[in-house]
Amino acid sequence: MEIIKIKVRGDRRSMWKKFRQSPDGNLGDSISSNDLLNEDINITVAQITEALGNSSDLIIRFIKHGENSTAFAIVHIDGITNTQKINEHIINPLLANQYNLDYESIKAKLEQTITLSNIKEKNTYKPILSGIVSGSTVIFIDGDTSAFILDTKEIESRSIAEPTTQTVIRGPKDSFTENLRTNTSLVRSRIQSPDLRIESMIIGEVTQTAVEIMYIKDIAKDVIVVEVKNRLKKIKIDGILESSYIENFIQDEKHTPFPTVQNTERPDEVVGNLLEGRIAIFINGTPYALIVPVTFMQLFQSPEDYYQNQYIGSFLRILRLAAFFLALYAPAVYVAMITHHHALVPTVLLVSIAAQREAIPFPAIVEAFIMEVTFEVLREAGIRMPRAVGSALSIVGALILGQAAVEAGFVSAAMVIIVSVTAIASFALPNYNLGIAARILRFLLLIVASYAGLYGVLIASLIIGMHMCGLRSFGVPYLAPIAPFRLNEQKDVLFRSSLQNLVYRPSTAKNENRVRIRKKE
Amino acid sequence: MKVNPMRIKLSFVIIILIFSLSGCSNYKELSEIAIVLGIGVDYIPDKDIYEVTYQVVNPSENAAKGTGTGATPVINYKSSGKTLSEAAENASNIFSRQNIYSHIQLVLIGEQLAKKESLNFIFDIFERDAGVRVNVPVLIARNDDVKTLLDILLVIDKVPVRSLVGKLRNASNINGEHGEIKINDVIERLTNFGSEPTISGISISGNKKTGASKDNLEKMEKTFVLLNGVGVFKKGKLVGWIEGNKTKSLQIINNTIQSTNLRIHCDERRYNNILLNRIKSNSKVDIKDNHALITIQSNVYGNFTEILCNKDLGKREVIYEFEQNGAKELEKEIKAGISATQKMKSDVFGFGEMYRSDHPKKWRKIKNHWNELFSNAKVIVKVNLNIEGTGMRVKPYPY
Repeated sequence: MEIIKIKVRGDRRSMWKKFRQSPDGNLGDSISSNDLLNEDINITVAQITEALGNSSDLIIRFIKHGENSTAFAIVHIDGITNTQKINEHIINPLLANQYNLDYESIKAKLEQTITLSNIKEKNTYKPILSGIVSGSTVIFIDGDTSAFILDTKEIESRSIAEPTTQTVIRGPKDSFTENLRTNTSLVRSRIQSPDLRIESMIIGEVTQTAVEIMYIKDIAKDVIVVEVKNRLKKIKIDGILESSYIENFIQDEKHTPFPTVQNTERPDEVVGNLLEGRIAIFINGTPYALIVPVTFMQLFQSPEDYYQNQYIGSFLRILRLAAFFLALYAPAVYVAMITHHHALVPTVLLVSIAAQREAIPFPAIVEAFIMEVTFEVLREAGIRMPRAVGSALSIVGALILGQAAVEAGFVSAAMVIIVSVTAIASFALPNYNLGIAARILRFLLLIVASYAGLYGVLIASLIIGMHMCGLRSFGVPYLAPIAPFRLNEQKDVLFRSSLQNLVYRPSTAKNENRVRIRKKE
Repeated sequence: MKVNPMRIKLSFVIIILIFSLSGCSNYKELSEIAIVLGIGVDYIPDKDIYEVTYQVVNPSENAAKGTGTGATPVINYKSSGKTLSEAAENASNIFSRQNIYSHIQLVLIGEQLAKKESLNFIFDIFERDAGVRVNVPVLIARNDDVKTLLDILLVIDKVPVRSLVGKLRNASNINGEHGEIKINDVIERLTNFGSEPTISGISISGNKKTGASKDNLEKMEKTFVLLNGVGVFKKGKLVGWIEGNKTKSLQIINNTIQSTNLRIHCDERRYNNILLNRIKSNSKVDIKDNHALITIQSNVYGNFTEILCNKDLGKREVIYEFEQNGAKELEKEIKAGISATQKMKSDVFGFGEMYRSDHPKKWRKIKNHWNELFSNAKVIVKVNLNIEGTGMRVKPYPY
């Protein structure tokens, strides 16, 4: 068995190796990435066209100078570039200036001629090709082995809208979009400090997705920043479609239902976390930014805790914690109580549940599974179905499953209540990923509860607790600051103390820069 | 991070061991069990067997939203054996579901058992079995068979034992004549040398036959089960009953009383009523020259609830007079209760226990003839009554 497994793994690895090498091959067989540009503009343009596979959205414009009808070539891809910009700032000046200057001096003075801010000069194919596919415009000059890359990128993106998954009553109503630059600008506009650092890298060997990490230099710990960069650099994958790809690669422990990387679509949440020394990772093409390191208790905190009165903020945090435990334990404890620990249920309730269960043909665990699975299916269907049939689903869900199932004696009313409570409780969590953890572990606890009662629930809880104690997020213990217990950080864990009292940043921030509120001197 | 595969295997083994070595599972579906709400125990001297009545709830008839068919809300059935466990075993011949005893609300002791046998070992099974509670009230079936008493159906509390427990609780809260004596209290009293248990009795008023049928629910002429007297025990056996007002003394001396009414002579014929809502007693036992002296000091606070004569309550002297008279009345009541038990030579107040904790050395000398000492003891009762209010009005109607 062992030997076979290793063999399979070995095969996979070699497949990866092949795959990793493949992106370079994309440049075509005629040229290699490090080749210098040809002096003859026609050959260069032909090679570019060939390298891009004669793509129909590739636009090549030759500009005449004197006798030379192909003195300049302007190459860009339609749809990801701003054509107006190209016309005004590249083509126009080139055409206008050539009457005043001769060919040699235009070439020499090209940088002064073109009225765009971002201009680079390159002489190999690789940067030029990646510039073209990322939306830049390239100017080739006949008789010269270098070309100018100009930033004319413009991708159609939706405008900034209200957050859809993390709504608040009071607080900013903007959320990230699929455009990386928009997203960083939303944060940049909130932190107008020179200490805000944005570092960029490209991940995804085919998709070449831009990924940027953002942190505040004086607050974020250098160790963690370096660690994040290292982990991101190690990612070798063909494409990044969503932030979860990054999340999967950088999380400390892969086999856990608990999220060890937080994701958010709220710029204010990113700002809050940056101020506490955490690091945000932005990925082009997704409206979710990642935040590391993350602790378990942090997932119960909503940005609104700080926007509302401290008392309601604290109350809601405790409520969310209670909701998490309810979502996790309600069905398991119910099943344990009615199958093992009849003595623990108040007499009247027990008699009432017994009356309901009198006609139910299934054991309690089967009943619980029917309801839980039905609900999960209903939930999944609710997300995937077309909007137009939404009302049909709610009628079927509410009437047929809720009422008819009880009346037909398939499930007891008590079980419907338990499952509904569980469902509502799991929606009360501010972090969707946390709800997923509760959803998965709920089934585990349910099975254990029906087998071994509360004893089993206790053992399973201990195992879950041990697992959580072992989790780390970028070296930070997952249960911090409760385990390990840090007294001075308790002001902002379960209770949200008043802002004046939150003098120090949590220990995720740099030690020498922990003071958040300076007392008057 | 690489996880050692050995570690995973080991943790799986540990998890399996945790669950498989934990002993037998007590998995029981609700539709397989019968919830026993009350147990009645009686003794048949001729056959020398225990007769146990089980009151089992019929869940469908007790559901909030009726799935019921109009059957009785509970099922009572009898089973017998030389031991209570044997009786419980024999019950499986009669009933289709397994009894669970964790929800017992009441234990009803038959008069035969209390008089002819003794309570000494009856409660052993309740303490020994892990699935039974010992904080369950105990009552004695007075004049009637245990099953007959448990059969009486009532409307508001559909389950007869719940209605009985409700009465007991109500009575102990409001008039203080009956305390809620639980199994563990009885066991404690029985096993201590210087005290004896008391258990309230219940009996039927009305027609027994219609009381046990659905007629009782439909007609206004109902058969009731009522609390009737407090049984006094000696060496585990029922020796007599204390009736009426006298039983208050038990609660007053033990400081378990919540509130009670006291009536005071207003003039020759008529009475006033005081609600006593704070009663605190201190008892002391002394033994000199082989004579016991029991001193009871009670501080009592109350309010007027009813005035049936024209006396000006606005005056301090009038209130003072009432306080004096009331104190005397209460003293009389307490003394009457004590002297009733003195006649039965049973120290149900636990004076002996009080003496033992104060003078453990002297107690050893007298503990064998304590009951004699108690029955001849001189009792001094001092009541200090404070009337704190006159209710919502001060002066009575000026007729």
